Amino acid sequence: MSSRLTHKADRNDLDETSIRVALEQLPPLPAAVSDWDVQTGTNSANEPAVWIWAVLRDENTEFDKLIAIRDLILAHIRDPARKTSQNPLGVYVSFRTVDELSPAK
Amino acid sequence: MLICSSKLGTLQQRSRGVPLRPACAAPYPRHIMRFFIALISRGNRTPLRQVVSCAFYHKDMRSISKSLAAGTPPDRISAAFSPMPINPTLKSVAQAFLDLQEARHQADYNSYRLFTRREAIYNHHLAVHAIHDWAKIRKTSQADAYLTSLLLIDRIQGS
Repeated sequence: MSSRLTHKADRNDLDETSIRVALEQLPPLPAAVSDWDVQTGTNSANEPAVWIWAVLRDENTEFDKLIAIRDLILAHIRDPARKTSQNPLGVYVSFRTVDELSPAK
Repeated sequence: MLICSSKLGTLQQRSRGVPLRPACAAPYPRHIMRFFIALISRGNRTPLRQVVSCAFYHKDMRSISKSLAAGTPPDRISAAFSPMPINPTLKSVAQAFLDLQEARHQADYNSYRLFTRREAIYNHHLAVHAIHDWAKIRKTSQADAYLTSLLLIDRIQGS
């Protein structure tokens, strides 16, 4: 799926599996997330990047909670990435619900 | 503009009897910023702002926004953001810029990337939120430094 999103990065400091592991270790979130969709690739600047979709249980989750989830993810994912690279991963967080199509399909 | 600001800084230093510094010395970015902000923000400068808007580069804006969102401005401009740590609201604005810039790129150039209605609404809220955040900090020196860096970061040399 990631190859359809963008070309696979030549070197990603964190692969999809390790990012999923990091997401499972997040502190309690302000809204329930039932699953994660993780895709790696390169962003518009041709830099290694990861796109994370949080699959929400409640489709009416307030925007402030979404921002709080995004910030928690950024803080959690960037820290380990920064330890291994001068140029940390671009991390992009989006949201969808179970009944919505996968964003790359 | 850079040449003018350099001369401005030099003249100010001469008038105070301060020894001249090389152009890339640490205070140089502050002169650039003061000059730039004064240039585009006084009175009715709408036509000038429209002209200047053509001088912004996606790469430079992404670069400085990425640094600020992570709370670590590049060394060559860090003096302009000191002595306080990066304002959390400014970090949030910079992160919103990064998110929206990438979303715009994906929407325009990646034919495989479909946006759901929820994502579109989320991005809209993100933009509105960032504009409200900006209103809270726009008169701070760090906001000035960010605005100036968006345009000039690639031309500011380190000390």
